[in-house]
Amino acid sequence: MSAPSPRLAVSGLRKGYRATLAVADVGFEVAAGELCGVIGPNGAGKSTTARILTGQLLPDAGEVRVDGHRIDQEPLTARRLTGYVPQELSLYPFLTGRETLRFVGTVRGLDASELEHAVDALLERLGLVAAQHRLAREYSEGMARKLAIGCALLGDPPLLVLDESLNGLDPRAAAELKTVLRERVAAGTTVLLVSHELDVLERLCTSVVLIDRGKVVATLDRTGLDALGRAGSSLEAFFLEHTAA
Amino acid sequence: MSALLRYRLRALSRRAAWVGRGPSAAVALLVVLGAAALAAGIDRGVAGDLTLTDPLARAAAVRDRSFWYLVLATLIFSYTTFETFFRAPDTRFVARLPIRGRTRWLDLALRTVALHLPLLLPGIALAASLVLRGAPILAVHTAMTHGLVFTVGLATCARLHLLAGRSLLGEATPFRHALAGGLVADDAAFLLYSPAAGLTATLLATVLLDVLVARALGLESQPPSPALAAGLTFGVLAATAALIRASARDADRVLPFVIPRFAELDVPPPYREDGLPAGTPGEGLARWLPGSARPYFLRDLRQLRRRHRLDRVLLWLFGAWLARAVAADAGASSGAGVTVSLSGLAILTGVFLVSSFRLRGAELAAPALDATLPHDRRGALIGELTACLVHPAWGVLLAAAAVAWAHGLTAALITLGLGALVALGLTGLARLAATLTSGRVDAMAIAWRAAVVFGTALVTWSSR
Repeated sequence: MSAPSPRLAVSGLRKGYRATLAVADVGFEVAAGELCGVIGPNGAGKSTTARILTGQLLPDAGEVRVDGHRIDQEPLTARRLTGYVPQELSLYPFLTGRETLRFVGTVRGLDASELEHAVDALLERLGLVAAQHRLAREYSEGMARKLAIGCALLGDPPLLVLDESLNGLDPRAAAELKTVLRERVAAGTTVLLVSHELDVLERLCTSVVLIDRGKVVATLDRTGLDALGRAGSSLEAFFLEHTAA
Repeated sequence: MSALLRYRLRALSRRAAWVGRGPSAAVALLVVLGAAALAAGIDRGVAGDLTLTDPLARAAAVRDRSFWYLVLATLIFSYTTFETFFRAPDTRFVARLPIRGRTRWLDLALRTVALHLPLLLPGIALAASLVLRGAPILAVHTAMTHGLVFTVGLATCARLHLLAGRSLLGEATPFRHALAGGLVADDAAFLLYSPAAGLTATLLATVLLDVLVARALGLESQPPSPALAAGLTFGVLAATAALIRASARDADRVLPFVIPRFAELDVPPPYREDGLPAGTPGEGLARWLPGSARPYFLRDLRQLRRRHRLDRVLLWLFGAWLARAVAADAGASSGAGVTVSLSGLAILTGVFLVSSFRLRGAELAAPALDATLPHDRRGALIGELTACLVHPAWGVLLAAAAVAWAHGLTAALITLGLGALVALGLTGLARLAATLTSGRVDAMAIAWRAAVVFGTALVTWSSR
């Protein structure tokens, strides 16, 4: 019997901006029910990779498959399968938090009763119940990030890509987000978490991909992450060892 | 020279070097063509002014033209200087650096002068046209008034804005409370009025300088007075220098405190003190739309109504204008009434209610969120067009009602049909233009408005 195909398969990814090669050769696979951390120095190509994986950018070469669908050929399917929180937040400023979630849920195809239930649950979990009827433009940065995370979680997409999503969250919200991610992963969702919070990733992730100068320079699975701890090392030391100064 | 000023000069020179490279060459070409068109238009007006045989009337016509160009420039810079001083894009960055208030003020003054240089263009074009058409004294009058008003006007506005900013550090008083009128925090009351104060002061200077320069050059009934001309120039430059010195001295003391205080106050106020209304007018239309269009319709309608709350007032004003225009035209043919109504409707829809551009501008759009969501093209198109058409539809009904009142039912039905076509056509074309130019929406919106004004004028003129 053949092995099940990975939820996310990335191979030979390459992307340049004029004279700068942001992504030179990125390839990795993440299975269903895995939480994969993507780490790397500033400017290594992590966010560009995340944007390509979610169809925001087209690669110059290489391919990305989500549940077997090539996202450059089936962008709509990829969007249905993916929830994405970009590094730079983007919300409709004159819709309330609740209206934003309802809009996102509707275009993601949730039916009316399912939608109301999902929106209520998310507002509760993200601590936005009191602010649900305020316009998004009146939200603080942390609240706006929570709302953006809510937009990505709505409809339970099988792949979540979160780019620096822990930034700006208060400790309670960050802890809640980690719990939500663990629950989703346990339920079979694949999560790709781009972050510089190495200690969080070390505890949370089932695997880590290290990108430097546009290339994957190392990967670690859970066993490897545990081995780091047993050897008295850390993900931070691993990062410093494998990346250029 | 301080490091900040050196960097500012370098940034300005880089901006100048950027013009002419790559795609910016096309923009530069358009700017040059626009300037040439402006100069040609001014030259044509001057040619008309100079046909007057009476020298006093000729001078008065040219001075009138020059005066109104100055008024336009003053209207612009009295507000934009405020923006430059308080909302400069690098304010937050510079505020963290150990930079003296005086240096920052001079830096902002330099930037203000550089940003406002294009406002001298009409004066330069007017003076050049007058020289070429053999009216050198009038050209000198134009050059002097424009140069002096620009110099003293910018310095005055900058001074007033700084004084208003300084008032942020004082205590709130009942007078300030009355001035603020609930629109802004009491201690920011003077900031609310400083652009208007700058405008008033500069307009007064404009009137005075126009008269005094005309006297100095002998453009009125008296002989020319070189002493007055020299004294005037020296006096204005001395006053400007004094204003700059005083502002720089003040800025050194207060600017480092004023900027953070302003930033603290300069946040969007709550939408309404009593919360959002339960519903948005027009939401009920959603039930008539296909299911895939409803979320887009509701999103766009709510955003447009909440952000552009004055559109409703605009509709009332449009109705009042129509009633007046059609009543004034009641004796004319019904065709003329229909034309007037449709022209007004085209301007309302194509110039004021540019909803597709608004939805894609920085104020309402969420491009990164849009890009992550599954997108139903047809639903989004129907939803957006319907939301954009709600107000123009009211405009069509108002136009038809006004025509029915003045010219009867048949003309009203024609207005209704043609008005619907105008509203639909302009809304659809605006969406197409806005979609094709994502990334440069604001520039395209200006071009779109100009095209609608030009097209409406052309159609109205040819139908007469």
